[in-house]
Amino acid sequence: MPHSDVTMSITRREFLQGLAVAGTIAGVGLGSPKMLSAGASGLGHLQIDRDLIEKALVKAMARGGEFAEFFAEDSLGTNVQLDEKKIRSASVGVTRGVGVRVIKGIKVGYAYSDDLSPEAILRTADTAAMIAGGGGSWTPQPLDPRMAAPLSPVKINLVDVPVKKKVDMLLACDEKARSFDERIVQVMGRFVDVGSYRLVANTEGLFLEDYDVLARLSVYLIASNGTDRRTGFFGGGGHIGLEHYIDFTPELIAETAAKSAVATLGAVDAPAGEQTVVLANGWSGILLHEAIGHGLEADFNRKGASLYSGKIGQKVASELCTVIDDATLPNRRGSFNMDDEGGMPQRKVLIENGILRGYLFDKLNAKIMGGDFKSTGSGRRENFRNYPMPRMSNTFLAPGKSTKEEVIQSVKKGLYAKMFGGGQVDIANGNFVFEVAEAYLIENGEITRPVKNAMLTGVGPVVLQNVSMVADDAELDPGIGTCGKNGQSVPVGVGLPHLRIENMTVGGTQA
Amino acid sequence: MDKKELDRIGRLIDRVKRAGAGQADAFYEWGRNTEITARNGEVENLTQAVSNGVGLRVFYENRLGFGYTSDLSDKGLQDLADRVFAIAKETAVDENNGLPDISLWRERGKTPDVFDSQVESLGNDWMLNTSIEMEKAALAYDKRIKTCEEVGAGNNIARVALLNSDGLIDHYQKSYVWIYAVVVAEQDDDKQSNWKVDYATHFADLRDPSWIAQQACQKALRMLGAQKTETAAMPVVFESDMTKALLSNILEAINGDLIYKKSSFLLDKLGTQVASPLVTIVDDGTLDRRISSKPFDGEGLPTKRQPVIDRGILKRYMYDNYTAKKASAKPTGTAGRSYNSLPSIGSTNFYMEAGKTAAADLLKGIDKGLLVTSMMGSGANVVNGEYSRGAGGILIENGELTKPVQSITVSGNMLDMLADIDAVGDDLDWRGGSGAPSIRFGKLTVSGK
Repeated sequence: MPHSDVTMSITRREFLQGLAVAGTIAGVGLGSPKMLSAGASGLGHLQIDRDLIEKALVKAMARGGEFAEFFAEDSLGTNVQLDEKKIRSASVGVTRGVGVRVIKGIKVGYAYSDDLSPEAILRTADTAAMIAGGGGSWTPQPLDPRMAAPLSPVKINLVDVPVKKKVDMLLACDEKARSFDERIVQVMGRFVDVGSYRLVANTEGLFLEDYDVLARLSVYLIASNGTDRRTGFFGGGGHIGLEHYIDFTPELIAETAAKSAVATLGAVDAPAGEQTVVLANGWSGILLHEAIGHGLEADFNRKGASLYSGKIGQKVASELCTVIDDATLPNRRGSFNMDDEGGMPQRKVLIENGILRGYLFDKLNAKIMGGDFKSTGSGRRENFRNYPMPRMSNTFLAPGKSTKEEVIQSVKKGLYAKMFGGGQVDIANGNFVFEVAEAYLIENGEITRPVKNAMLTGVGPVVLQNVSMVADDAELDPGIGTCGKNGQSVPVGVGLPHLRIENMTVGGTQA
Repeated sequence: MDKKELDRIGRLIDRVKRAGAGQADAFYEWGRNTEITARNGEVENLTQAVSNGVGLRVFYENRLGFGYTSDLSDKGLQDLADRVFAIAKETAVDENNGLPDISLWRERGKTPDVFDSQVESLGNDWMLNTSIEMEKAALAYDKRIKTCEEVGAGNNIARVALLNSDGLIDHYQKSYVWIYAVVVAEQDDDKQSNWKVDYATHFADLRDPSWIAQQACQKALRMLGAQKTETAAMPVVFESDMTKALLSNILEAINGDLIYKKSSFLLDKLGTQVASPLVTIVDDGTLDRRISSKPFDGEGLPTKRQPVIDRGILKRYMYDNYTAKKASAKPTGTAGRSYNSLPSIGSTNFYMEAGKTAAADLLKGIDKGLLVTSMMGSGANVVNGEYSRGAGGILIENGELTKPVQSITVSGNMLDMLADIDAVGDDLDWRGGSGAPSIRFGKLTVSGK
């Protein structure tokens, strides 16, 4: 089903996805131990003791590694799905395991295990150590376990909320969507929550634990007038509690999706070719994510594989553009209490008034690139089966000075893009695309007729150079995005104020 | 499979049956995965793991509950059974829920040959040396190849078992090996990256690593200097990999789930001409030495060879047991499953048969057209058939490939596009379980300047 994730991805290595036959399949890590309050340790839950972690690190360093890291995860998730006015299925899943990483120079050894016996854990450490292929040792330092400070206040932990409540929210979505317009013929809804316990310990003396809940309610629906079928999608969540859905109601979600699907019923084909495009605020931030975000991830730059390689200090966008990646925003989907190598979340200015200021770093790439580079707390992984990579968190464009009205009124002839689908980018040449789910023509400064089948494409720096107006209404998306890179998915946020872009290619059918 | 291990998994089913479940099935996976990548003639990454997990599907009074765990201790399995049984009670009654009829198992054929002990015994040395060979071959190929973003090799061994409350106990094992190269070509201020991968269930079938690296280089080099082109409708040729992407859209559109929800552009089209008579598409899970072959699907149903589109006529929709019951049809034995997901309708080896036109002749007679060599974004809407994807490629002028183009989109409606295929190449190429030749469309909208 097209339902569910709005995904953003890069073109590399799609080929390794969808092929996994066993074991390698990544499970969405979900929720977990209730007993974890700040200061408490989840070690008891995982039944791995501190001595064992220390032994594993000693083993990991025994062949000459320079750095070793122990990662453990235990997550419990619930997924409830609505289909045809009823709950077609509900599921609950546990993802638990450990991963050991050993680094020597640019070499990385990684091994993981879902068997938590001491024998299996030590074997895992030894496998990861093989990368070094020599002799070595490490003297354990006293480990001081700490809990990462919780960033996102939560009143009612969704992991503890009865499934019945989630069922009711989905049924409310269905009822609202169908009563909104009789042309809504299919409604699919999904509620997913995951409570994850994570632990990172390394040979630099770090020992950090974290417990966090991530949730999302989303609706995908179809409107039909007999001859035309249109889809609508909306949803949201983040590191939130049940209370989030008091204001952001299931009814609001359903109605927004329904409006979007109905709005474009019978729409005319989008005009093809270069034109002026106005992007609505919020979810349109996927533009930044694709046009520039991935290109600033340090792994690509370290290898010289990004078109932003070696361009720090240079102008890469219009001076109207200031781009920020901020993992510290409470409750947001792309935020975290610690990254997946124990780094603290940070706010990073990536582009300041058009000038490239920095990349997104994990520990490994910062160390290899040397100089003043340090981890920006951007080392993230999907779960214990993967080693961390530099990733985005919440990526957005700072507000400008124009009003939304001024931006729209300034356009004589162009396209207004309101709701969006997924996107993708090619890191080397900067080409990106993103889907527009709901779009309108702008004629003489006014939004007029809806159009269908529009796709936006461009080259990152060119498009950002062509930004000619930035409104003051910056907003983050409601919490629906998942970013895919090298087969690993992580939750992200994106944001943008209303934006006017010149000469953007719209892929329509009306040539 | 170890009988003791199977017995332990079987106890999951006993436990939920005792609790009152009508039916249940358990899907067990064990996998060993190793991958090595090289950089500057040395190991860059080595990732290795053995892992396993079990997924449990429970039917309780025609309600469906599901859960999974990678914790296979006795306690972990008991917790799983109890949690899934509890959550099943929260779902709706649906008479179409349930296990497939026992009689359907009897059609099970022999287990296709998808396991090679030589792949299982490939060591880290082989993976490293092969990666280094690819890196060397890429850097030596052309001085504009400045770096390999990644070169790697790996193997995967999987054992799968399915047990259910009707007494089914079945299992198989599979191996595959892969090699890949991602290279970056640079000239002036332009960078182009491209990749090539090969998979094989058997070591002897794996293509030459140097050739794989050189293919990646060729693909990157030919795009250097790419520009936007003018917006126009023109004849378009899809290279094999682009045809494979279109096949995945067709597969989604014939998914029984979308059919009963009236959410597919191929709804109500069974037995009718939906594509050019040049087009034949087949699903075949019985082929030896193909990566998506298997003796049974995620619900235990035998796989088979079945036409999907035969000379342009739509022959079937894909059904699992649930959607087949809803449609009063037979399940197609194409449900995919991993331990951490419910069975979901998919395919086995899904391919378009080779055509009669020599691949090089597809360009003949095109005054101005486009060869599409890469695509981006998921701009294929299977609900209404609208198709608009980001693309890169090479212009065709007077029957010859001329300038590379990028930052464009290719748009149309999939139903029109399928009918508009006026030539199918003889160059059927496989990547994993997907196979396709190059194809030519009479006219598509190319958006650029």
